[in-house]
Amino acid sequence: MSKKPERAYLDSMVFIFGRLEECNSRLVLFLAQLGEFEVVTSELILEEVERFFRENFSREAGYLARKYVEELSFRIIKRSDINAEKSLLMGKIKGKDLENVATVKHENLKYLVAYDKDYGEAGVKEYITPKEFVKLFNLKPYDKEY
Amino acid sequence: MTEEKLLVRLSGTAAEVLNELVRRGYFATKSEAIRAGILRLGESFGLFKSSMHYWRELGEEIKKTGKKMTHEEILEALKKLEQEA
Repeated sequence: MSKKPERAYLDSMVFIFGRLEECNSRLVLFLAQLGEFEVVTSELILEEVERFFRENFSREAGYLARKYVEELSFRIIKRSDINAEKSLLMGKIKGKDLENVATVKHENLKYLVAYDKDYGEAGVKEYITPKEFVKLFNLKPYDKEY
Repeated sequence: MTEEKLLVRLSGTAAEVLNELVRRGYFATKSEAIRAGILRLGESFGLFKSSMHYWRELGEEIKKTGKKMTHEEILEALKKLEQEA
């Protein structure tokens, strides 16, 4: 039997889809809420999730979404902590994904949970879809990847 | 992260409720049920607001706005978010 993950970095899409749709991202969030694994995020994730809910719903929704991510996170990595990793990855990883991958490397994490084929194409070995991540906990996932 | 390892002896009603919570499938294990119970206790005494609190509040706020996003709209908004980052 495969060992359950202990820590994982969650991309903003996990928080966004997880709150808005019945999907594997929601299962990932529920597993985190139950303390099944520790969530690692970054300043970027906080900003993106807050902005998404503020711009698409309301200012209050943005605030609540940010608080949700903060409370769920075991660690929130600061931008200033990942400069070395960012320099190493520059040119190898698309700009939009750079901070996320740099944070994963900085924290030596085994899993980056997201649904973005760019991670796969860039050969990010830590990349895993919500569907595959849920399976690691022996749960039956929804058919969709996210 | 603080860690506590406890050996808890339960009997009577507490043990029965715990067994029932797992038997009915609300929790996968007894440890999980105890963990959730402690957090709920802390929340009800106002020691902290859990992620679940904000999860529920966010759900209510989304409902209040009356806005619904289709899957395609979410994808579009995510793309915009990435471009602006």
